[in-house]
Amino acid sequence: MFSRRSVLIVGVILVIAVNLVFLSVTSTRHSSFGPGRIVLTLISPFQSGVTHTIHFFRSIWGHYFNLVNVSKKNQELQQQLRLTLEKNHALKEVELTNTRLRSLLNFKEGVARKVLPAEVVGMDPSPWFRSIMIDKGYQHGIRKGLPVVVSEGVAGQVTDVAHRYAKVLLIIDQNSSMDALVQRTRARGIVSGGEEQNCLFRYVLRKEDVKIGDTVVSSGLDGVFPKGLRVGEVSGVVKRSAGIFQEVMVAPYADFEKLEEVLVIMNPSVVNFSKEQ
Amino acid sequence: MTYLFYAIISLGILVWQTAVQPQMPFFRWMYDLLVSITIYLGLYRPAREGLPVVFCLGFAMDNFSAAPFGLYITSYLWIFAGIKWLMTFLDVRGSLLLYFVTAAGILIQNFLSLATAVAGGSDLPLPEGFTRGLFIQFCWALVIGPLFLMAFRWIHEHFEKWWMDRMAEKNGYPTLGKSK
Repeated sequence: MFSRRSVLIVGVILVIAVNLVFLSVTSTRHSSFGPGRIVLTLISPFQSGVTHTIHFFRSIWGHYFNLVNVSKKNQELQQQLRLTLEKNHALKEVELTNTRLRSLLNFKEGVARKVLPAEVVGMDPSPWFRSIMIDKGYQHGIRKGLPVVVSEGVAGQVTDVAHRYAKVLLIIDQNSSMDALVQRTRARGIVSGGEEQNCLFRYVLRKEDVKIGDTVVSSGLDGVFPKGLRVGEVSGVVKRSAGIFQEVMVAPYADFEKLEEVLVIMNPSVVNFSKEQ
Repeated sequence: MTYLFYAIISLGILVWQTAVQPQMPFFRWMYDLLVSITIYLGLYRPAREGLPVVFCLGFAMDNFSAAPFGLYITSYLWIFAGIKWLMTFLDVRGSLLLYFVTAAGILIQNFLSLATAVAGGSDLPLPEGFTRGLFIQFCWALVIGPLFLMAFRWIHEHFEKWWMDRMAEKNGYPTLGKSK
């Protein structure tokens, strides 16, 4: 009834369709299968070795060839340190006031965050996806879903863990999402990966006041990131004539091109909705 | 022994792509070099030898990337199958078409990534950098793709010859190099 050729064409189309359906299903999940962890365990030591070698040679360059700039830099840092100390004293006063006011309002005391430093040993091989490999895993207490930060702000979250290594999905990846707030106006939305090294701040109502330069912080409502972590700065706002949301672009504080060390928050102390329900 | 060769080469490329290349801005848009291995296997090696290697390469890459699981496995398998199908009616190994084979493989891989994003319900518009990135990858593939294929072939042949010689020496037979 049908020629062999048409059966073949239909078969190929079917296989392509099944392939795409499979990929669209797996795109909603960020964890590899059991054997995948073996791959991470086997290959990551080589990544780690190469990365350490590169860092070693870089540090030689930094130590022996940049000495000329050290003296000048030292003076600048001394100046910055003085300013920072002054600011620190002022902040201590604010902290004490904050503690007094919190106790007056009967607020729970903030839990000190336990963090684990980790070194970046590898990056995503694809230019379209953004993840990193870190040199800490199950053995060090890392588990899936833990938030990862750098001194500048949020970096991402752990999506896959092997014995001594883990994979971290960066917030600039198109599959990443986190609940966030504009610090100044408390406008809420979802930060997800955008183009290049930027993020999009989605589902922010048109009526909300968002301006370029505003700081975006985590809201703590996504069950992953603790409240108040710095995410980025608003770099663009577009209010179209139609629609209930505005388009907000966010430039992350973390420089993802130069990630070398990160901190994994081991006790994120976020709201656990499932338990509360 | 052949599989050891593939394992060493693939490990080297994987470490290069994940640990060295990201630190060099010049190579930011370099194409996935494992596509070259896949094409080499499709062009020069039998399917029963190439298929398990292609699958393992895809599996390893899927575990190192934030891409949807299976994207690399399927893209490598499609490229491999495409090359094998192409070889049934057109031998590109000794012609100028060799220049375009890697570039075509890169196009297949990138369009599969895009199709996955669209099928997965991504509401991102076509990324601004996508066409530019694709173009740069395409150019890289045109320029160095054939060189890689020739290099793999040369290294593989020499590696096998070296191994045969070692085995022959060990068993007391004349070696390939000395038999001339």
